[in-house]
This record gives sequence, C-alpha cells and structure tokens, in this order.
Amino acid sequence: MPPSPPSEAVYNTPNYLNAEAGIRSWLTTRDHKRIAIMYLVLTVSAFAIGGIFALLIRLELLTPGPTIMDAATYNRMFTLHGVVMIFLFMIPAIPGIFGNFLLPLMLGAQDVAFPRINLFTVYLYVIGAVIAVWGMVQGGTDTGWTFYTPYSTTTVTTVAPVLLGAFIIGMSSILTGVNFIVTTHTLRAPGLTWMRLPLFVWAIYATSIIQVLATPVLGMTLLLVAVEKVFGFGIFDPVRGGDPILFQHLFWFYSHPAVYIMVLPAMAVVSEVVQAFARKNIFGYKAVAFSSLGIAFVGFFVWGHHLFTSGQSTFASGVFGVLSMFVGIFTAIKVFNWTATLYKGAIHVAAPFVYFLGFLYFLMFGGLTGIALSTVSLDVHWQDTYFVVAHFHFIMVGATIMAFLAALHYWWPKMFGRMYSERWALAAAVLVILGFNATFIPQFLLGNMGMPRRYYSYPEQFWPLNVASTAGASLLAFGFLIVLIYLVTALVSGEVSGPNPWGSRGYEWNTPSPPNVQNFPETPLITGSAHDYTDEPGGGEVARVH
Amino acid sequence: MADAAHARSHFGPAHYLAVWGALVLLTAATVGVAKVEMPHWAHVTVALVIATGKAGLVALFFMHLWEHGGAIRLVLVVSVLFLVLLIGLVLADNATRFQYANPPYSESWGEAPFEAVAPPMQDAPAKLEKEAEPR
Amino acid sequence: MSTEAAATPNLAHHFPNLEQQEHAARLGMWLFLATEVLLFTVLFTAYSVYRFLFPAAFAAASELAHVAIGATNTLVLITSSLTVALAIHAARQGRRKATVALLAVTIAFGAAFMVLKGVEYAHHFADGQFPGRYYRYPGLQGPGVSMYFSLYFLMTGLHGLHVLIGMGVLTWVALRAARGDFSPSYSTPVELGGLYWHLVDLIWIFLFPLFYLL
Repeated sequence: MPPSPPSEAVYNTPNYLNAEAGIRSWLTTRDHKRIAIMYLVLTVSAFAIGGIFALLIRLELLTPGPTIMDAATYNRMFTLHGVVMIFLFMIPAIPGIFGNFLLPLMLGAQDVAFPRINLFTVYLYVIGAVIAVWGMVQGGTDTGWTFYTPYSTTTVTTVAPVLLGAFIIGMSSILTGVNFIVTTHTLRAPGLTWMRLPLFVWAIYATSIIQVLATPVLGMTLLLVAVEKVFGFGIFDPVRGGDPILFQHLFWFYSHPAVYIMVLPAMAVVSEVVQAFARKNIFGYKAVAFSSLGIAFVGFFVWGHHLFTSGQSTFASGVFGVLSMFVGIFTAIKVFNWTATLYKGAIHVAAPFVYFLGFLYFLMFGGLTGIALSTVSLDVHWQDTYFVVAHFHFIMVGATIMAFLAALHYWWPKMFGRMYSERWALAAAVLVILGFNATFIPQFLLGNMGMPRRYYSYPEQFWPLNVASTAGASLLAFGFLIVLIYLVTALVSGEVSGPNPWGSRGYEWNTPSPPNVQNFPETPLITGSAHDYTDEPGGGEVARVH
Repeated sequence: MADAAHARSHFGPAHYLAVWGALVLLTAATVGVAKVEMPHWAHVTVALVIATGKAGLVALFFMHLWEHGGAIRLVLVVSVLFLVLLIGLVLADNATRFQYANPPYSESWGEAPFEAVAPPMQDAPAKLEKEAEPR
Repeated sequence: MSTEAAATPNLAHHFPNLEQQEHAARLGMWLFLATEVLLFTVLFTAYSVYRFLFPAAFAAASELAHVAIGATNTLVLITSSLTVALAIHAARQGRRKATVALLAVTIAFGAAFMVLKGVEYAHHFADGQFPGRYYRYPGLQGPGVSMYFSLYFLMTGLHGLHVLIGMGVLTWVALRAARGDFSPSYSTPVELGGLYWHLVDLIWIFLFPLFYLL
C-alpha cells in the first residue's frame, strides 16, 4: 500500500526550528535537533569546499603536464581535498546530522545523554576546521592527508596547524561517540530492548565505539609528528634510532577503522531506507545488527594492509592480508540481508530508494576491489596508483555519499516538514550515479595501467582516460548542485509533508514533522519492533522480539 | 532516593586502607625484584605482572569496578585488549622484518657490515627546490 | 515526575531519575578514560618497539633513572588514590568538611608528585640528558640512548600534564563541595573526579617499572 499523498497536511508549528528565534538561541541550544541542523550546514559547506578542491585537481589532470597549476600547488590541492573531505565531512556528517537528530527520537528519549557536551562538539568542529583549513592555505601544507614521515617532519611547509586542527576535530568526534554510546545504554524508553532497537541505532552505536577507541590514537600520533617537527625529538627519525614505518602503523591503526566510521553510518541509513521503501521488515535482524559490531571490531585488526609496500615484514603483511578479508564477510552479510528484504516487498521507487540501489552497486564493486587489494601480491602492483584511489572513492563517494543523499531525502520531510520535488530528485539521482561512474571507472583502468596517484602530470597514454574522468567529475558536480538547489527551494516553497509522508513504520515517524521542541509529551512505551509491516500484504516476518 | 543509595559502594575506609596496604607492598616487591639477577625477559614479565596486579586493585576497588558491572567493565577490558593488539602486531612486524629495514644499528642489524650513513633528517632544506621540467 | 524534579534540582530534564543520570555520567566518564588509555597506548607502543630494537641502550639508560624519586612518587600517587577514594566515601555520607579536607590532601599529594618530578627533571638536565637531538650526556652515548630519553620525557611529561589537569578538576570539585553542592543522594562530580585521578595513578603504575626498573 503506497503512502498517502501529503496534500491535506498541516505544517506543524511551533516546532524546534521556529519556537525560539535569533542567533543566540541557536548558538546556546541544547536541543539535539538544532545541533543536527547546525552539523548539516557545516558539513555540507565543508563538502562543497572539498568538492571545489576535487574539481581543481581534475582540471589540472585534464592534460599531461601542468594545466592550471604547478606541482607544488597540486600537492597542496590534494592535501586540502583529503583533509577537508575526510575530517570535515565524511567522518562527522551522518553521525552529526542524522545520529544527533534521530537517536533520541528512535529511542523515545527527550535528548541525548549529555546535551551541553553535544553543543560543545559543534564548537570544537568549527574551531578545529578553521585552524586546519587556515593552516593548510596559509602554510601550504603538501604532505597529503596521511602526513607520512619523514616528509611531514622535515618539510618547510607548515604542518603544525593542520595537526592541531585535526586533533581538535578528533575531540569533537570522540565526544559525539561517547554521547551516543551512553544515550543508547541509558535513555531507551521502557519496552525498548536491545533486540527491538532500530538497525540505524545499532550501526551508529558501532560507529561510536570506533570513534571512542580509534580517534585518540590519531590524536596522539599527530601530536608526535608536531613534536618531532617543532622540537626534533626524533621518534620517527632514523638518525635518532626512529622508525618511519612506526608512524604508518600508528596512523593507520586509526585511519582504517576511520573508514568504518564513515561507512557504518551509511549502512545505518540504508537499513532504515530499505525497510521503509520495501515496506517489509528486515530479513535477518540479528545478523544485520551484529554484523555492525563485527565490522567495528574486526576493522581494528587490518590496518597493516596500508603498509604492504612500506617495508613492513612479509609475515605481518601476510597476517594483515588474511585478516582484511574477514571484514568483507560482515559487509556481505548486510548486502545479502538487504537484498533479501527486497524480495517480495512492496517497493516504492522514490529518490531514497534510487540512492539505495546506487549504494548497493557501489558498495559491492568498491568492496570487491577492496578484497582484491588485500591480496598482497596484487597490491604490490596497485599500491599508490589510481586503482586504490578509485577503490576508496567507490566506497566513500559511491556508497557513503549515496547513503547520505538517501538519508537527506528520506528524512528531509521529518527535519523540515516539507517535501522536495520528486521529479528533480530522480533526475539528479540518475545524474549523480552516472557522473560518479564516469569519474571513477576510468580511474580503475588508469591505476591498473600503472598511473601513480598524487602526480600532477602523466605520460600521454593516460590522457584520454583522464579526460573521461574529469568529464565525469563535472557531471557529478552538476548533479550535486541540482540536489542542493531543489532541497533548499523545498525549504521555502515545498509541499507540506505532514507527519509521515512515506508511511514509514520507523519509530521516529511517530512524532510530528518537524518535531516539537519537546520530543515526547510523555515517555512512550514501546511494545513492538520498528518497521513492522506485517499487517500489510507482503509485509514479511517480523524479527522475533523478546 | 533509596534507589540512588542502592547504587552506592559497600566499601568502607577499612577496605580502602587494606587495598592501599597491598599496593604499597606490591610497590616494594617490584623494586626489590628488580635487583635480583634474572634473565631480562623474566624481569619484564615479573614487572608487568606486578604492575597489572596493582592496576587491577586500583580499578576493581578504588574505581569500584568490583561492584559496578556490565558495560563499564567491558569498556576497560576492550581498551586494554586494543592496547595489546596494537603493541603486539607492531612488534610482530619489527621482529620479523628484513634486518636492515629496522632503524640503523638496532638489535636486528647485529654487527652491520657497513656504515649507516643517514641523511641529516632533522635539518630541512632552507627553501623549496624550484620544479624541474615537467616530465 | 514534576514533584521529583522539584525535590531533585540536580536532575536533568531528559533523565527519568537521579540513579539513571548517575549511571550515565559514570559510563560516560569510563568511556572518556578509555580514550585516555588509547592515547597513552601510542606512547606505550613506541616504547615497546624501541625497547625491542635497542635493548642494551634502554637497559643502560634506565640505570640513569632516579629510582628513589620514582618509587617515592609511586607511593605518593598510591596514597593520593586512597585519599580521593576516602573523599568520595565521605561525600556519600554527606560529611562536607571531611570531603573537602580529603580532596585537599589529594591535591597536595599531586603537587608533591609534580615537585619531585621537577627535581628529577632538573637532575637530568644538569647532566645533559635531554630528549632527541638535544641529548648530550657524555657518560652514555650510542644508538637508541636518546630515544629512551625522548620517550621518558614525552611519557612522564604527558602524564605530568594529566596530573595537573587532575589537580585542577579536583580543586573545582573541592570548591563545589565546600559550597555545599553535594549530598548523600548527589555526589557524582566527586566520583567522576576521583575516577580521573585513579587513571592518572594507573598510568604511573606502568610508567614506573618501564622507565625506572627495567
């Protein structure tokens, strides 16, 4: 049964957006919903900035040899692109926006466990972002976002501000993780047992565990680089007996789990979207729930696959290669279960669902190339080529950003009470998916042919594929722009959505859209699992609840 | 208010004093054992065992892990597990590397048959080199 | 629920009762302590790696450590853990003066620790035992020696910073206790401050043998 049209809907007011006016009320808010909106504005701005650097990179790579910049500037471009995209968008976006907005609503809570700390994380984000970006622009940081020693400890360009900025943003990430873990443990409404939790909550919970355990390692490691650069302690300097590869171990101990900080929230979103748009309860609730924890846990064991060609021992490389393959198992479990959920479901093809399909395709191919890369003998050929670049962009842009867009469209009416234009959304989704393929499939081919990454010039034989990739990037950027335009337009003149335009049975849809300042007039009592469509034809088995 | 008191500690000053006494004894023990002639690996093992014992006493009794169970104990156990994981795997790498891939004159180099002439890493070039011709 | 809110001014609006709030605060603090453990893990990893790579240099360099000061500092911190545990106990019994006094003693022990540390550092500097490229003690030279001192100053320095932060936290808690903010039903900040202080003690329990005895 398709959801009813929201034509008779009345806009819910006063709501969390307009109950209090003025900048001051926003800057001092403790409302998790307002904090989520602030994260939305901040992270999307960061995405735009990072995207501009990406376009500049692709413009430079339009021709062999210098096109619009010299080599040193190019190095600064990819450093800016990487740092901004990863630390200012990929890591904070879905947890900061949707985790903040939805976690209390899904748990039946009035707010997160520590609202003031939640606000503090926004300030930390801004301060860290300003210091990092200013530092990179002013100081011409050209180390790449990975800050490998000995270059990062000896370069004449300025590194300390970026390291400090990243450290501060890391603290924001850690505190968000702590907040979400405590909220999930202590603020569940009566009747909401762990086995009734929405799958979104399970995945955000797993993400928060990674944030808490991994980020401090990055913070300390970056601090050591700064200390070595400024004071010459020589922790990574062979002249002092130091081991540059130790930096890589410490850096990737965080940065590999970090990619799961990026992808797990995407999977959180997908679990919700799949159930709502197939109008069917998830196939294998426990498998999907526990596989989130599995990814979080096993993701900590595999960092050495970034060090295959670094000088790491062959024994360690072998161990890490094998362990890396295990991570694929948990992702595969999810993919099989999401697909099985579609079977005999009542599928409603709207923008969120189209983005889900894109997500599935990109996750599969990105993930499979990841498994291929974890084979040491293959990685020796692909390491530091465009093959790796294409692999992680398939997952990060292809999978994660598809999920981000799915979330944006699915929960836009929840957050703002207005629907966007479905026609424009479908068109943009097609553009984005096509543009993405056009950008990054050539890069797999380039990498396999041997084109190194982080090079501003290349031999002529790589020219056509680079042109194709740049063309694709332009298409992709155009698609994103269209999304931005119609979403912002919807805020002003979009159709009023009513409380539940999708007819979704997720817990969060039991509140008005947009929600009131106070989430629940009285604490709800939960008596069943979320996404229970069993009374509908083809509604599927509800997971056994305890 | 009764349920708040229910979560309270059942330990009193006498318990804390006893734990303190044990900690002082263990400190004395670890200093004493350090003076005994033993192979190096034995020194390391004993020192770490005693330190872990002391840490356990502080965590269990001073920090009340003995009473507050569940999630909180898991937090400490998992963080320690990851500490062991990071140190263990990194050491496994250094221990099994090609001998000269470890820092100069480290243990795996043994009697190096050549002089390790390392560049002056801490002194960065004064200014950026001008780029050479493209390609 | 509104009558409970009126009777318990320390209860935040989104928690159903004080016990739940206290449990959440405790869990949050422990998670934060876990991040501190992982922070120091980086340094312990570096220590393990370089100890493994330069066993002779580290063993020789640790002979230069001042065991007497280190052992005394260990006892100082252990005793300060005792006093802060007693302070929490007193706070739970509503004994305001005892709470403040015990917290003050704890802070004093922290200060004593820092003073002893300062004396120790001064001895090292006087001998030319500096970290990294500044190391110039003629009595012991060789690959790995300066790395020992780099790690020594980094780890004890970071630990010392945490002692100072802990002293700050406990001072703030003591001021609140003196003001009468706490009662048998609400003494969570004292407990959380104590947890942080115990962590500082825990880290030192491992630093001491690693740098002074091995």
